[in-house]
Amino acid sequence: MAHSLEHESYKTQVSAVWKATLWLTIITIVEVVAALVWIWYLYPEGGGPRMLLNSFFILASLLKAFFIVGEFMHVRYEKRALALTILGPTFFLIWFIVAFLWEGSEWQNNRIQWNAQPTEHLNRVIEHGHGHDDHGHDHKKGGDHGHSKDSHKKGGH
Amino acid sequence: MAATVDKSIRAEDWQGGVSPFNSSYGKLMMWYFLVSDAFTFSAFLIAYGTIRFSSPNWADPNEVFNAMPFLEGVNAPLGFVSIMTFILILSSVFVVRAVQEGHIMNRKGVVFWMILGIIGGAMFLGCQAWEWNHLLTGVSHGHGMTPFMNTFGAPASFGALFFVITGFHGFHVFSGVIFNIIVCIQAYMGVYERRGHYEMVEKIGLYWHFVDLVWVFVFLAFYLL
Repeated sequence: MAHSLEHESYKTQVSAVWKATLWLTIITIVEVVAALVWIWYLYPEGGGPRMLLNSFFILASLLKAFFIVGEFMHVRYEKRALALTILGPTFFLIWFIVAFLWEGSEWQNNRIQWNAQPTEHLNRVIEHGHGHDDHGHDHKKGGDHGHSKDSHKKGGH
Repeated sequence: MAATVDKSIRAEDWQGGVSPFNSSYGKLMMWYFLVSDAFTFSAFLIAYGTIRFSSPNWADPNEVFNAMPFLEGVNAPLGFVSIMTFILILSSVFVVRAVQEGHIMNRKGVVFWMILGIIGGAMFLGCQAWEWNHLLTGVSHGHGMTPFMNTFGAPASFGALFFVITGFHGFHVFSGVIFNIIVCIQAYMGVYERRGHYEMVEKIGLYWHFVDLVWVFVFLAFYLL
């Protein structure tokens, strides 16, 4: 495919690219300044609503990705069907991220509880034996109500 | 070429003889490769997130990445990595300019901007080499961080994840620089001028911008969050 664009469209495309460059630079600078202001002036002792700052970082990164994919990789000017073919599958990542981070924090809860009262957990394992009950679940009682009441009585799971 | 005014795709377009995506085979395959590569990087970064979420304590990036070359002992969190980020963005921009010069068949312009892009990529790799060396030898932190242990109060997997993910990205940058050099030499020798189009610059350009795109998220996951 021989491309020979007219001079006018060449000029607008070049200026669009420099504009995108400017945006990318500004966003990156704002991100870094926000991080530094946060740790040096707002919360030098640590803490603070980190969630707010992190959300800002994520949104700013997505904005940068928009400029890179749209302008530099030219997706904005491609046919919509091609753009959807490329971008569509990436929406699976939303569930990928949610599921795995959820799992990760659940894992952390288990770790913290184990560290707080490891012997409690051990006793439960010994009481019910390893063979059929390695998570400390009570199968003998049968039924959900019996189980949850039972584990609650023994200090939580 | 069947002109589709409403930009939508019709079933007839797929019966052959037209290009429904208005894109060549090579460019489309480069896109599909990049989509698969995006999932590889996503899986790495999500693994990082999962392990981080599962750990009661984690390293403070402002403490780990606070060094600058030539400024020993200066506490400059995010300083060096901002420079690296900016270098990679600029390098990406230079390659876009090369692609645009290719569209108007300007051989000299393509070679000029490609050379700038290559220099940017090489500079980024140099920065990464410095950072890795700094972290591995641990000159300012007492002792070093390796893939098997680290000294920043995080699980050892922090080091493993850092070196694997930035290493995988760095290898992409490295191979991108090699591809850019090959394309630059071919452009200089007039290969694409004889071929009648500079599409190869576009394809390699896509790869190069993708590397920049991945860095945005590596920067986010390791340095900002």
